[in-house]
Amino acid sequence: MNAESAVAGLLCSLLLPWFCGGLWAYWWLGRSGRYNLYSLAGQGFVLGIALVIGLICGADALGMQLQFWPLASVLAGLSVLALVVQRLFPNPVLPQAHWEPIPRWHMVAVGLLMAAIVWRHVSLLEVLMLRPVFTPEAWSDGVLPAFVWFAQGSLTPFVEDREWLLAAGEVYANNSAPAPRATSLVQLWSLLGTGGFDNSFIFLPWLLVPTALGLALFGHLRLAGVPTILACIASYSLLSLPVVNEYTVLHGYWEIWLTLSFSLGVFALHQWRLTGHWSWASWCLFLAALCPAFASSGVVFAALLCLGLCWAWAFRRLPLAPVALRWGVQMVLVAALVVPALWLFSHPHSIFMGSPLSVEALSIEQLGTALYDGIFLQSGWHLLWFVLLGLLFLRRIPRGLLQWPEARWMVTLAALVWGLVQFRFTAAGSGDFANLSAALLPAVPPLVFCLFLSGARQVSDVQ
Amino acid sequence: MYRFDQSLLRVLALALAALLLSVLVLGVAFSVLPTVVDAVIPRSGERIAQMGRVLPTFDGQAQGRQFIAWVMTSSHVIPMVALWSALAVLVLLVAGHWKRRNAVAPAAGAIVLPWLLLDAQWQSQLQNEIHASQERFDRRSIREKHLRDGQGDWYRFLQSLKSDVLPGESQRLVLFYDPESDDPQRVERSPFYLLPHNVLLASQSARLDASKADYVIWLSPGLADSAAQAVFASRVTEQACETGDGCALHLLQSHPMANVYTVLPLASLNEPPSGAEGGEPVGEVGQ
Repeated sequence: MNAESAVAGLLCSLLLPWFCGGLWAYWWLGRSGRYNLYSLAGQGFVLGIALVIGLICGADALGMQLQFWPLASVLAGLSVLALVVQRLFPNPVLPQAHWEPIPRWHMVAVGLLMAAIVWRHVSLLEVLMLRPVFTPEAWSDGVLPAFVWFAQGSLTPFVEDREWLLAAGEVYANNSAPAPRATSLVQLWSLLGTGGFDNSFIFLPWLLVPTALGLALFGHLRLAGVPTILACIASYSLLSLPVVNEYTVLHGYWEIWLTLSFSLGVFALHQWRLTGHWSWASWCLFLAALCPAFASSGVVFAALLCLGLCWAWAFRRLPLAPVALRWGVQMVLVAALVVPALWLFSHPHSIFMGSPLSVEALSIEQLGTALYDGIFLQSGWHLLWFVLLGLLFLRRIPRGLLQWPEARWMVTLAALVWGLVQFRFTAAGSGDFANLSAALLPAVPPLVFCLFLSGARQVSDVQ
Repeated sequence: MYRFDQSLLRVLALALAALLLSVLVLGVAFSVLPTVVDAVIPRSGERIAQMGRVLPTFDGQAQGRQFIAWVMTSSHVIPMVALWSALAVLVLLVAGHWKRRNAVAPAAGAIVLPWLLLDAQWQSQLQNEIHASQERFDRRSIREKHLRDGQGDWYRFLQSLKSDVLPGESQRLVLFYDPESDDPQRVERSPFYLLPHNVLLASQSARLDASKADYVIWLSPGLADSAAQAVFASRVTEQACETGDGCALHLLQSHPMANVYTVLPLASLNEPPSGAEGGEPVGEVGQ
């Protein structure tokens, strides 16, 4: 394949799924009458990637040779179908939005922050394109299946040692812990698009993940009534975090994909809490279902989103119920979180941890030291955790947190606690803070979302 | 209600003034009480210095989690900046309360401006790494990038194996390695470097039935003379062919990095081995 057709395939592989996903997201979420361009762009990206994964698996199940342009044609057809469906079943017309006058300096500040975000991502693009594949996990987990499938034109199974030794047919050895293959399928899609022209191209979808995340965060904050400048600062503060940047350029890692699915699920959960419309609830369920496709521990995050939906449902249905009934419902939901967690603690070799488990868990003292060092002394998080502490200190976070916390807070805090548990059981012996950042990462975008929603209540009418 | 509409000049002026005042207060405090830092951040400098010695400075060679660790340990200015920002916010909130003015926007500015400084520092580090990577990898083919990467010598060896020893079409290989002594980076990359061949990684302490594999690669044998090779080969045969249907191994290539054997199932021993001209069976084990 020459460079021109590789670039054409690359652009098509990057943009067509996003376009198709965006159109269907517009139809799906537009039914609620509560959306904006940014939230649709962010949510549409995930749907596009899910469509790609489904298409590849479907084509392989039907015994078709995996080729880019036939699959891309199906995606294009789905895009046309979305337009037809939109024409046949149009979304309700949104009332004319009332725009608050925005001071000119706000626009200047937004422009400067956007420029900083673009500059950062150009730098990350350079990093992605310059380096060869270099992460240990990527060699065995993500990259190898993608290249094998690309060469074979089908999803050749990867099996355990014993099965490989007994098999006479075409199976490959799974030389690492069993893991979901969604990230490998994303790489395969880029490989198919570029025809294997340059290995560096296959990781460009990783660069789109923070872009989609930032757009969705901005869009959902705006939907909640957060002023443009604060929503932009929120996106900037998330996308400028060195930890987020690192997981963008760590070729083949799944953490940033799980973070995307879970975070957008929390945003959708908040929209459902506000609107009560089925489209946002079903979207949240779709994202919950997507979490386990990226990581084994995604099961936990899927469960958290489902519990968040139950929590939000109870919040909507029982706002005026007697206190005893509300407490009863809360206890049931908290038990639904705590009991599985206790079971996992007592079965430390559970697959849900997602990383190789240490024989010995960190002691509470070690955990405290690692947390202190990892989130307050190291430069991976900028001032994020200090801002959280400050808002807690100034009581800007909802005072009713212990009475009936909102679903977004509930799910975010549960994800943080889960991250600490996961870190405690996987960190011993690793000798660095990488596990801590990986464990906390999925909860960080929802945390930024919650912080800015709570903080913005001080300056404007925010839902 | 929209209370975030103060003029830029006022917001910036107030935020900067508070940050300046905060710097002065902190400067005085730390010059008068230098031990405060040690009290606030016990042993942090020592720990970070230790990590800085252990972990390589990132120059394009650090691997995966080391890379993250490098980022996470590159600075301990964060608590100082946080303290600086918090003091400025406190000054603004107290002044706003005293003057009965809304101080939210300047306070936000007193957080955002230090955040921007930290981010500028991170961007500067990132640019340095990009320059280092450019010198190392820019305008090079993917093959040249692999050669200049941390495991370039291993990549070169496996490429020569693919071109000179192994057949072109996909073969089933068992790669035995020593988890104690072999570089895990080298081991983990091998299946990728050996594509399109189909590689199973196995510990050198594992006994398995390799009769359905085509080749066996044994890492780092480090043997020079033929007598030692013969003794060693019988050990390899025991590891690879002791269980199952049994097989024999023919030494194809001896190299300080790895020995390569072709696998012959016992049933086919009467036929000449393909691709192993000149090789002698070095051992056979079967049930």
